[in-house]
Amino acid sequence: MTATITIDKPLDEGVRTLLRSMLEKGTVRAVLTLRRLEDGGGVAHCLVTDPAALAEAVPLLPVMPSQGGQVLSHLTQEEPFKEPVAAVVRPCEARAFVELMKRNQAFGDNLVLISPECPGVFPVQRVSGDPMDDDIDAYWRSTSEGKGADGLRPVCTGCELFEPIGVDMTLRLVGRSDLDKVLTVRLDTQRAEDMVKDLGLGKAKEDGKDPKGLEALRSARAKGRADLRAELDFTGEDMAEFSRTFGKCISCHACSKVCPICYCQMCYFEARAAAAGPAWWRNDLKRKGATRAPPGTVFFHVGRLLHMSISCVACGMCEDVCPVDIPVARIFKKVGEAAQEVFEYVPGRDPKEEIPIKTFVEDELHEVER
Amino acid sequence: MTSSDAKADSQGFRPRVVGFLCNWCSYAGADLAGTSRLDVPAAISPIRVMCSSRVDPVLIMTALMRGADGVLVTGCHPGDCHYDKGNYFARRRFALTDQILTSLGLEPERVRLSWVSASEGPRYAEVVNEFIEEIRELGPNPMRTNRSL
Ligand code: SF4
Ligand code: SF4
Ligand code: FES
Repeated sequence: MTATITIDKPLDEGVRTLLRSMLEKGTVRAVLTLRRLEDGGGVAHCLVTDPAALAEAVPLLPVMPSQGGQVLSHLTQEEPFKEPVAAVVRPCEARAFVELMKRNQAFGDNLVLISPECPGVFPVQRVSGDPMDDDIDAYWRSTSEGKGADGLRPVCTGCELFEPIGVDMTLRLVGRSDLDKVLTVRLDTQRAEDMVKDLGLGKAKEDGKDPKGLEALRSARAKGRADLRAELDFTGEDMAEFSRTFGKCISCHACSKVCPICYCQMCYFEARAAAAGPAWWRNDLKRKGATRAPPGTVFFHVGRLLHMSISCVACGMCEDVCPVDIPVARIFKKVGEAAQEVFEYVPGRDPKEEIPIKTFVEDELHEVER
Repeated sequence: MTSSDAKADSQGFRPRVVGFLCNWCSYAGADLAGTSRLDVPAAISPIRVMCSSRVDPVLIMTALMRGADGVLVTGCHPGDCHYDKGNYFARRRFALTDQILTSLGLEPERVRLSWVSASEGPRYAEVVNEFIEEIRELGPNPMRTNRSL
């Protein structure tokens, strides 16, 4: 049986109430949440210990200025939190964090994860662009009806993992008609139940039936995923489509900088080993008579796919930051999922599940042996 | 420079294959093929690695993007790896590479994984000959001449 509590404030206000009381009662020492910065500069992940500073918190603002999994890894890669810290992150951020723990880039001790059923996020440009208020009203209306909002990150429209996995508390948002009045929080772990007991936010009840809208969004996302897959097809002749798509790339490597899975301090593709020395371009010229200078633009992307797409959580960060509008995340989601399927692997599903290339079964994959 | 290459092409395609050979089994197998005077085409450029698990997928891709028409990865038979389990990891990495090449339309037939032991000189010669024939049929790797990479 899973227990649920209802907080009589809606959305952001509800989450702020929950976080504030956790801080005030000392249930957690700090919280990590999106927050509007005082000088009006923007919205960023912030660690907060002063309950008053939660006034500016916007935990459910539908943007992802940085990947929460990456943020948590930066905070914990040297040592685990020593006291409980609550973090409000989206499901793909929580899954990225799990992948980073598996890759020894983070510690999960003392971390209490709170995550919404995620209706998706708007592209990150919107944070600094026009005021989002009208769009946000429409966003929550669609969410309560179990429909996807317009103008989201493209990968969000095909995300079937929008319901959090392996977190302590799930903020139940999708398909709920009372979204503008109350916040429903499902307590997924014993630890969450124990913590909430003392907060005075009302008694835990048994979790009710899933609203119809939740089922509706599940189907919409399954369809969205199929559409995304159909839209990008590189399997034609001579890699023409692939080189056309990545040919536009200006090699800024922003996509890998914001990617939670690309954690390497020194990327192989930026290291000397990959520097396009004379041996590379001379050889290229001999064969082709013309080559991109320096060579290796598309190589970077194939290399990144080979190195990390097995753990890609399809968060969409990479695509948001691409200055030349390459559908990077849609490509990584599609190619990554195909690779994940070979090993029946879902990134971030379970911290105890090994990354496929770190383990093996003796009797398997004979189809690739010749 | 380019014209002489083009000329070679018009006279018939000469496949070029990079072979990764693990030190303890396959390299010794290749050596045996040589000392047994078996016919192994010069079209393969062997690279000795300590274990098949050393073959990072990116090495395979480097070879393909920089002029190889095919890449052969060889190692000890499962259960016989000098480091016990290296070739099981190699097989997983290879399967991953194979799937990603497939998704990208990059002709996975251009890469091959085969186990060759130190005593299998004839098998080494056979694998190489067979693979080079397959590559000949596929024709030149389009990445060799693609100018927008
Ligand atoms: S962000 Fe876009 S332009 Fe920059 S390296 Fe990535 S794909 Fe290329
Ligand atoms: S490749 Fe893109 S979509 Fe995948 S985890 Fe990295 S940033 Fe997210
Ligand atoms: S040493 Fe030959 S495969 Fe590992």
